[in-house]
Amino acid sequence: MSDPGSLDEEVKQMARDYLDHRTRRVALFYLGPRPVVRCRRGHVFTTTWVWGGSLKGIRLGPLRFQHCPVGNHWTLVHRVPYSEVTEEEARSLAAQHPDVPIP
Amino acid sequence: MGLTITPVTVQASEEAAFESAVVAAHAERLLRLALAVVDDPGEAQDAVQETLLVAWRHWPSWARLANPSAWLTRVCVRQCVRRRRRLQRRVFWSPGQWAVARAQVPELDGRLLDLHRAYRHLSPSQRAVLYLHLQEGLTVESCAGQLGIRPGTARSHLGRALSKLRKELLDV
Repeated sequence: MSDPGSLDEEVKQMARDYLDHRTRRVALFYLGPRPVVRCRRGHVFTTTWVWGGSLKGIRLGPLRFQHCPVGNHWTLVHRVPYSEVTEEEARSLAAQHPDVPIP
Repeated sequence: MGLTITPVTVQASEEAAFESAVVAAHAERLLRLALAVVDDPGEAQDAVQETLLVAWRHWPSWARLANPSAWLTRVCVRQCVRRRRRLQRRVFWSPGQWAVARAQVPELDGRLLDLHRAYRHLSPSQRAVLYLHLQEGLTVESCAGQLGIRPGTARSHLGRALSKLRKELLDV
């Protein structure tokens, strides 16, 4: 019969491995249309935009915080109407991968 | 002649300060915590965004917070609990949500897959304490401080979480 102390350590180590796996990996998800957003550094990318009540309530207008895959940084982003996307940005959008996965 | 600062300039500098003190310093950690507590990565991401928005509203009084990291942790776990409850109430899933559920099954094998099944039965509080203790290396007392609960409660959450995981592993 295994020692309860060593079993506890084994369970903890397995739980560490599991949590490491779980929190490193962010699965792809698609819940709706993917609008174009621009981050504070000017990077443009597509994202999944889920409106929440509190987002509407903020005085700064439509914004959210999220990871920018172009600059690889967390930032505040604003939605950009497709009509305001430049030709160069449109080419970049077409070429780049979507905003997931997040590290 | 006094210096004139336009509201736009003030807002931009405040945003930059906020990004540096809160977003850059805590967002990654909060996302990992949220991913440990909720099962849906999209919900985890939104919980972090909600947390950051709450922090933004508290930004004028940010300097007065005794422990901003613990405060953010508490807000984030609260957001996760709200989102997890909301998810559990959903009966009918859209095709998009089924895609989320499918994507949720990690590429695990053997005993880690057993652990994954057992983990799904842990409460958000148990998950939060387990994550903070095992992944962030906090003592049980520090976990309690981060979550705003008593050390005895944190110890109980941790003990029950480990007990459930152990039981699943032994039963297999």
